[in-house]
Amino acid sequence: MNKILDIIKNPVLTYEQRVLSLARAAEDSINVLNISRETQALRDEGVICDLFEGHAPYRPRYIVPDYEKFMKQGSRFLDLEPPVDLHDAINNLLILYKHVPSISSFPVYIGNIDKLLNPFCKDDEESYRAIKRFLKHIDRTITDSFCHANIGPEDSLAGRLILRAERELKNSIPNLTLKLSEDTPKEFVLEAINTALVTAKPSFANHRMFSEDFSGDYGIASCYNGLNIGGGSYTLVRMNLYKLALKIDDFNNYLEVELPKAALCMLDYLDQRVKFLVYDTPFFKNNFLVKENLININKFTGMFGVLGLAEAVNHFVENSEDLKNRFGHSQDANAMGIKIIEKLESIVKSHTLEELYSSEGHYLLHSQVGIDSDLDTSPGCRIPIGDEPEIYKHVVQAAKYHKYFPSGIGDIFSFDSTVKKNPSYVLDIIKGAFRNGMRYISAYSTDCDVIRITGYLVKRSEIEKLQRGETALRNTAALGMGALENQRILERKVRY
Amino acid sequence: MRGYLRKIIPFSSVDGPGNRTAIFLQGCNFNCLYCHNPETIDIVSPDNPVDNVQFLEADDLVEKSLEYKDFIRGITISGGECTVQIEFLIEVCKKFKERDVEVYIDTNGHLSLKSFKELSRYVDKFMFDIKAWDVHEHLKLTGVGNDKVIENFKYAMGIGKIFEVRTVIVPKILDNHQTVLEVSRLVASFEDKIRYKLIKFRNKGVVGNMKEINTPSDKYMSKLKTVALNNGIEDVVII
Repeated sequence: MNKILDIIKNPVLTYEQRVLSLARAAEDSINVLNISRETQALRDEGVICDLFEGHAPYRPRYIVPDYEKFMKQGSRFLDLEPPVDLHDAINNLLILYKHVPSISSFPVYIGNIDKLLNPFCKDDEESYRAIKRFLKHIDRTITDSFCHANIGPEDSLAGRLILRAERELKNSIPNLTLKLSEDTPKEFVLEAINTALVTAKPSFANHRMFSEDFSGDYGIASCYNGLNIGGGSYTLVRMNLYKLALKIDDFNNYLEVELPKAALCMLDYLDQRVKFLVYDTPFFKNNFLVKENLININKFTGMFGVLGLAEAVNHFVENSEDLKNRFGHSQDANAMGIKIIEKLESIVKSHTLEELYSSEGHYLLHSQVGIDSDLDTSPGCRIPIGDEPEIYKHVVQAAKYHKYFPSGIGDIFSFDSTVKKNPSYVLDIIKGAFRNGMRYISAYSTDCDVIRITGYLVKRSEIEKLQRGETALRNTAALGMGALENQRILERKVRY
Repeated sequence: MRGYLRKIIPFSSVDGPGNRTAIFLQGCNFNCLYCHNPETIDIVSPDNPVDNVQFLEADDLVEKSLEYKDFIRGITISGGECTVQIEFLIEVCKKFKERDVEVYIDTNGHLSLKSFKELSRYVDKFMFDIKAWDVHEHLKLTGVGNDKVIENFKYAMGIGKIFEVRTVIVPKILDNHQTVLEVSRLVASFEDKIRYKLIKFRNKGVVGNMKEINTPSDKYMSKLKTVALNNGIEDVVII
């Protein structure tokens, strides 16, 4: 009971954060999953981690509703008619957002908002003000940076109004991705880059690559997770490759014995979570999103996350104190990284669970961005901060991993503010990165208040509030504060 | 044919539009009082070897420069002063054009019109320095006159191959007003609209008496910008 009282007495939680924490504590007070001793041991060691999903999953971690369908049909449950003008459209969406569950209880995907609003937009100040209010409303009520909006790949008036508003608002929420294809007009992409260099968003998704992996039907949710529209992911559990490596001295033993063993434990744990949600909770039977066909279980999958690849590889590398031998620099180290991921891919693809309907019964690999408390462990397959090579080498090296991770991987580049004078510079780098197999890329400028932590966005000014012991509206500010302290986010190599 | 290379910067955001691979050739025919890269001035010869310079084939330079071809808009060749090695430069530019690579040249324009015309055939755009309008001032600043510079600039303007013209603004020792006035008049007399970049002198890295000269004030720079704008240049940038 002390934990409950601690939450009630916590001096920095807002009311909303307190209620959600209490709900989580209630869920975690029961144990309903049949977890093997081996798996539990790996969980206790932090090798396997469910990222605070809770002991009894009663809603999918990530839900990607079909908002286009909602715009056409309205909602019986919410008693909403299809919109006839921009104000209706915005109001309907804001209402629906409050009813889309997730692991944080805030929607992690709020639609391809330019496409949703464009039919109602006019090239006038009224449309602009309405869109600006819409975005401000999202920032102040969906107080969680894992809330993600998409725009593109086509140019549109609404898309331009959204970018203009974001440049002015400089808000951390929602996270924003531009789906970028070869056909996206250059001028629109430059607008997006100019916005990113002011307020750290949008990021850029390789539309061709995601379309191929998801049959053209994907949304980017949460940090950078590719998922089917009208579906989502039941769960995400991650494996800390570094923590596993710390127990072993020999790379072959790691690759051939311990990694497969741990992966099988994690797959079993994932299966338990999926089955409990699907069969023991009423979510897929009674939720109105399901009943109104805004989501369909046939479009759901599950995610197998990894992090700490760089540190795992460096653990096995000889003379790793010398940068040239480490992950991201030496050919041998990079080859070890690829071997680990290919091994995991083959294990994950050999395992089937019927309920992973959208991905032919297999989990999708996900390069996980880490959590605030991770120490000395880099997100997913990223090259550690402080070890980054020159940008041209960095992009080529990082891109090699992107094909393995349809449900999300991304790299972040911090640019000096002088680059704002030549946004085409960033455009050329992004295009080159996509040509070299990169799936997702983020850029920001060193002088932004909004900064990209690992996948999500936080305002520096909000972190400073927390550091002064004040409450902060957005719960991700606390994650950001931990990440700044533990993961040296502000020390990313600055590119010119 | 072989030439002298100082260095290659694979990604550059400051050597023309977009992301460009910047190639710096060794050797310069000016000796500017405010030079920030004096190590690139020496012209290499058997009697005058220079450290950290590679002597390489045009083909090898082209190959090396295109290692990150997917990521770049084009290449920019600079120096030193790249036209000092004009034959090598022309061969390199020809080879880039054969590979359909966009070629920009960063130059002081001090070479014969005949050579410049030949070079222009293989160049998309020039980034051109006009350091001083008055010939005596130019001589004092660089060690040579500016007749060829102006002549080549006019030719390049006429064929639409200038990307931008630049002047470093140095208070006290140069008649900056005259240079900005005359350059912008000249540019405005052509149909092509180009950018005029006014660069603030900075004393970091310079040697001798130039260390005593201060960076021009923002007020002074914007006064010069107004001069250029009033003469019909639409795009004037201060850096």
